[in-house]
Amino acid sequence: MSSDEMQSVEKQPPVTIADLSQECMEVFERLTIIGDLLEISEAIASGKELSYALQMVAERAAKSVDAEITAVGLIDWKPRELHYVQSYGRLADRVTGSRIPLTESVRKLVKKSGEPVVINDAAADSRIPQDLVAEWGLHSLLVVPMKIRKKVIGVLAAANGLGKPFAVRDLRVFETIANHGAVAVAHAELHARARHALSDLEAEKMKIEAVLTQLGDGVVVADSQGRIIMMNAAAERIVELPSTEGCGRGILEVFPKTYRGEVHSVIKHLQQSNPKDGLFWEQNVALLDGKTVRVNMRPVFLKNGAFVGTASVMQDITEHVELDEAKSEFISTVAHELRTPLTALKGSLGLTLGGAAGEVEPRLRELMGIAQNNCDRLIRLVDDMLDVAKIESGHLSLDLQVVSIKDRVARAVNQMRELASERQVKLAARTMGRPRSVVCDGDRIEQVVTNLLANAIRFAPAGSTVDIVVSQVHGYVKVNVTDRGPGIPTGEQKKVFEKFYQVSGQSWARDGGSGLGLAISKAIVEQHGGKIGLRSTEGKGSTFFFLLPVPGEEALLSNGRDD
Amino acid sequence: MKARKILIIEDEPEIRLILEMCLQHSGCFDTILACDGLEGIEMAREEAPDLILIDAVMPRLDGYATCRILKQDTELKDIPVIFLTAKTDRREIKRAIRAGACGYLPKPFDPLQLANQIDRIAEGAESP
Ligand SMILES: Nc1ncnc2c1ncn2[C@@H]1O[C@H](COP(=O)(O)OP(=O)(O)OP(=O)(O)O)[C@@H](O)[C@H]1O
Ligand SMILES: [Mg+2]
Repeated sequence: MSSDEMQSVEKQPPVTIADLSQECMEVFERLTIIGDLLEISEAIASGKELSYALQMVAERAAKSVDAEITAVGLIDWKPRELHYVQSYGRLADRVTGSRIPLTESVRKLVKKSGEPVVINDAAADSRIPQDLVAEWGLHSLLVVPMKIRKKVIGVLAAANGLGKPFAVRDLRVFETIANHGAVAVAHAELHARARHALSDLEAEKMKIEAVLTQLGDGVVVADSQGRIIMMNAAAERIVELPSTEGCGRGILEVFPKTYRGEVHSVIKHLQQSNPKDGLFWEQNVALLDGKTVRVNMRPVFLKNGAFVGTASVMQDITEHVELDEAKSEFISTVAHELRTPLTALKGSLGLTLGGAAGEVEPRLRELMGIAQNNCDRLIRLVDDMLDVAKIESGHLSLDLQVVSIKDRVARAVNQMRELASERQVKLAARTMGRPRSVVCDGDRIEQVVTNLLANAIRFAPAGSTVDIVVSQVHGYVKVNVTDRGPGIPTGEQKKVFEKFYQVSGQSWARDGGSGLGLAISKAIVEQHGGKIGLRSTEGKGSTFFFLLPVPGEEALLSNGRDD
Repeated sequence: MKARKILIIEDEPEIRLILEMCLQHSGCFDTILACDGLEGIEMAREEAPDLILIDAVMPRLDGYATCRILKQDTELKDIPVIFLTAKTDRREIKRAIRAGACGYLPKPFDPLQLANQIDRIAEGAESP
């Protein structure tokens, strides 16, 4: 109720029966109006077609101002027209669907700062398209803009023929109904947009799903609780679980029991990690059915850094692993096949020369000695070739242990003493500083030292000394082997680490070498994370050295904490 | 020192002969020979050798399986078993140790050193 109405009630003290019934009528009228509005609201909220709500708007609007015609017009910006989408009353079927060009005058009429407009002589008003006035027999017009967030989106219009003018007082209810109409339109738009967004999402999802399905690798996504929320076709194949059964299960169930403890703690670590850490877990997992899969599990974070789950890619590498095993089996078989005849040869020669078959005459002894030397050379060559095969197929496995390099060097030096004294070369080993222990494959490192010593002794002039120094250099233990031999030309210093490479013009020193020793040594040292190199001056000698990383103080401490 | 009885289980006849000559030549061992695992187990039961030298790769019953059977037999399980293997792969060596061997010798071996090496391994097995 507006304040002037309240005042007018106060100013009329004697209330008559007629007054009361008038009041009642008004209250009743208002109640029906409120009922109408409620009905419109319900129609809007029910999510029915927009036309249904607008039809109701037109109908109730007609009732509220006692109009012959009402229509809801919406602005179409593309062709700049006012499109009457719904109408009620006389001429409804002609008005509905009609379009009025949005001329400047019509626009003014519609907008007119968003206020209602009452025109009681349409024929005299230039703002009204006169052809319509004549065609539809319009006389009085009531136009109320419909607004969404202050923006005019259309009109609710009412029209009467001659003799039925609109009163300005009627407008409040009419306006309210117009507002409801606007809400209905807004609602419908929102719905349409949501549907659109939804179908966009749907399409996006289908695209992603299509890609994931096509993917040969399995993809399993789990939420922050470790429950599987997505599995692609490849993952279903790999873990032999249809995704309908897989989804909702714990991700641990994808893994054989023996891995679950590890995966559990991995997930915990990933969960607590920082997106910046880039932490992930990669591991070959042997499934129960004999398949081997390479699993790469990564945490998934939202933009704000919140952990929302894990994504795992599973690559079936069964064939790869089988091929790998076949390769190493092949190397192993070749080793056996080559070494068996060499065993018989070496055994026979050794026994004969050792007198097991009686005295050996000197000429024969000399010849058999040659056979024996070459047999040994062949054995070394086979060993080296097998090492190269292992290195090249990635099968050089290291048996890592805490090792004193000093001790290993001493052992290698002792082994080579006999050869050195044959060549009249002295071996002088010493340590500098306090070389620490190194985590390495002791036998393989000894092999490297033996290789370097064999080379140095081979090239050292008779009467000279080969120096062996073990030292501690920053985070490394360093081993130097220095000879006073011919040295290596600068241009060839890198090449000596290539397999089969031998420095040209050293034929006098080519006894027993095949050019594999340094290549193998380099591979061994590098697989330890170390470095190998040389310094040499032609005519003066060479120093071959290698460095092995010592687990740093910090690394040791943090290891201790972890354990 | 009294010569010990050593059982040689080796499928290659030539290598078997060389092994026999090596060990007899050393003067430390009396040798008995078997040409595969099955025969070796039988012979071990009959002859109760002090030591067994066994080839890793053999047809029928290979060295690993033979060794496991020997180690499960209450009467034979204390006889030290030494492997001879041309596959010096770590995996093979570990397999031998897992099967119950107390040591291994690579092929090819130095025929004049073999007896010594066997002695050293056997000693190590007795006093670990
Ligand atoms: N101390 C050294 N002085 C001079 N030249 C060297 C020295 N060490 C290596 N070389 C050169 O580098 C080449 C490659 O050495 P590497 O040890 O790889 O093979 P090798 O000794 O010839 O044969 P292998 O070690 O396989 O028996 C040698 O042949 C030699 O020409
Ligand atoms: Mg060399």
